[in-house]
Amino acid sequence: MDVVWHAINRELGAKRSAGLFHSLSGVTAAMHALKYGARYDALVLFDPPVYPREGHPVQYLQQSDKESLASRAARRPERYKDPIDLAKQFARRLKNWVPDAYELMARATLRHDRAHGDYILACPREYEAHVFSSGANPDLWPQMAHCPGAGETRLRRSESRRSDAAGADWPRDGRGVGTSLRSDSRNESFFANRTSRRVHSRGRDFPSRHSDSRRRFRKSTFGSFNFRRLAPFDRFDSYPVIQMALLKIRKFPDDVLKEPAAAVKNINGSVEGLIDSMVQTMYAAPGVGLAAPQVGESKRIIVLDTNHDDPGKHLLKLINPQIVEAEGKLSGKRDVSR
Amino acid sequence: VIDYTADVERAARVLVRAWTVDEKEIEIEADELLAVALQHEIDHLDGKLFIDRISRIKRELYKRKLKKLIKEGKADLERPSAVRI
Repeated sequence: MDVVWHAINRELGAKRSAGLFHSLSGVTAAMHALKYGARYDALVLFDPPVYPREGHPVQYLQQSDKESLASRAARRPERYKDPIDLAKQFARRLKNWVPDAYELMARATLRHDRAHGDYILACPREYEAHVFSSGANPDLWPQMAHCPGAGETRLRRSESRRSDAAGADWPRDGRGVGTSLRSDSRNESFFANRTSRRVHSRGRDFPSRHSDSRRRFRKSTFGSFNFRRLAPFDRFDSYPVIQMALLKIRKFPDDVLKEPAAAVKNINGSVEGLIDSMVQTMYAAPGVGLAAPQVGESKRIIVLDTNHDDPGKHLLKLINPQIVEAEGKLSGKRDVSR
Repeated sequence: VIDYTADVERAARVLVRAWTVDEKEIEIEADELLAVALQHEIDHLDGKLFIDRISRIKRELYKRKLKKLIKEGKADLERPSAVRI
C-alpha cells in the first residue's frame, strides 16, 4: 500500500489533481485517505468493494457477490493467442464501453509469454480468485465515516441522471445503517468524496434504457433478492432506509420447490447470512416457518417461530433437520401453506 | 403453494434432530402447531409440496380453482390470495 502511495506522489507531485479509482484500487485510495489524509482535490471511487461488517443485514448479498466474482475469476481462460481475442470477449459482454477501451483493457490484463509465443494473464487466475474471496476488509466499512471530508461524502448512482441532489450521507455512526454500498455500486454508482469545492461527476446511463436488460442485469447481479421490498430502485435518496434483506418467497409451481435440498456440509458465513435473511423474511411474511428452498436456496435449512407475540424467544434455526420419531395422528388439523 | 388451506394428515408428535448454527446437535420434541410446522418445512427440504400430500381429487380441485382465480384476476403467482376447498 505504501509503495502505491509513494509512486502516486512521485508521479503527481504537488499538482492539483482529482483521484479516480475503480474497483479494488478504490479500496486502496480509501485506505490512503484514512492513513494519510486528503491528498486529492476531489476523489471519486467507482464501484469500490467496501463490504459491510459481519452481521449486517445485507451481508448475505455481499458474500454471494464475492463468491461469484471469485468463481468467475477462477474459471477464466489462462492463455490467449492475441489480446484482440480477449478484447472481443469484453466487447461481447460489455456493451457500453468506448471502442478503444476493449483493447486497452485486454492489453492491461495480459502479458506476452515469449517462451510460448502467446499471451498469459498478468495476474494468475488463482491469485485473482484469492483476492476476491479473501480480500474483503470488514474494518473499512465503519471507518469510511471518518474519511477526510466524510461530512460531504456523497453516495451516488448514475442511473438517476440527477447529478445534484440524489446523494446520501455516509452513515455517520459507522454502522452502515442498512446501506449496501457494494450492491448499489454494481450499478456503476460511485461514491464521491468531496475534498474540494468542485466535484465533476459523470455517470453512464447503465442499463437504464431497456427495462428488459435492466431486469436481466438485476437478476444476474442479485439473484433472488427482492428489490421491490426495498426502496424504489430509481430513487436513490430513499436508499438508506433499507433495513432488512428480505428474500423473495418462491411459490408453487417454482421448480426449486420440487427438488430435494442438499445437506449442509459446513456452517460458514454464507450459511449464517442466509439463515439471518430467512429469519427476517419469515417474520416479515409473516409465517410460522420457512425452508431454504422457499427462498430459492436448495439447502437443508429451516427456520421456525410458532409464537410471533414474542419474536425470537421461540425462534428455531435448524440445519439438516431430520424426523427421527413420529407418533400419533393429527387429522382435521388445518395446514396452512405458502 | 399459494396460500391455501386443507386438511393434511400429520403426526401428532415428532422428535427432530438437527444442527444449530454453532454446530451443536440438538433434539426437539414437538407437538401441536410446532410439530405440524416442522413436518411441513422438512417436507419442503425433500421437495415435497403440501399439494402432494392431499388426494388427487382435491389437488385437481385446487389447480382448477387457482386457474380460475388467476383468470378472473383475483390471484396471480406473485400476489398470493387464499384458495380454500
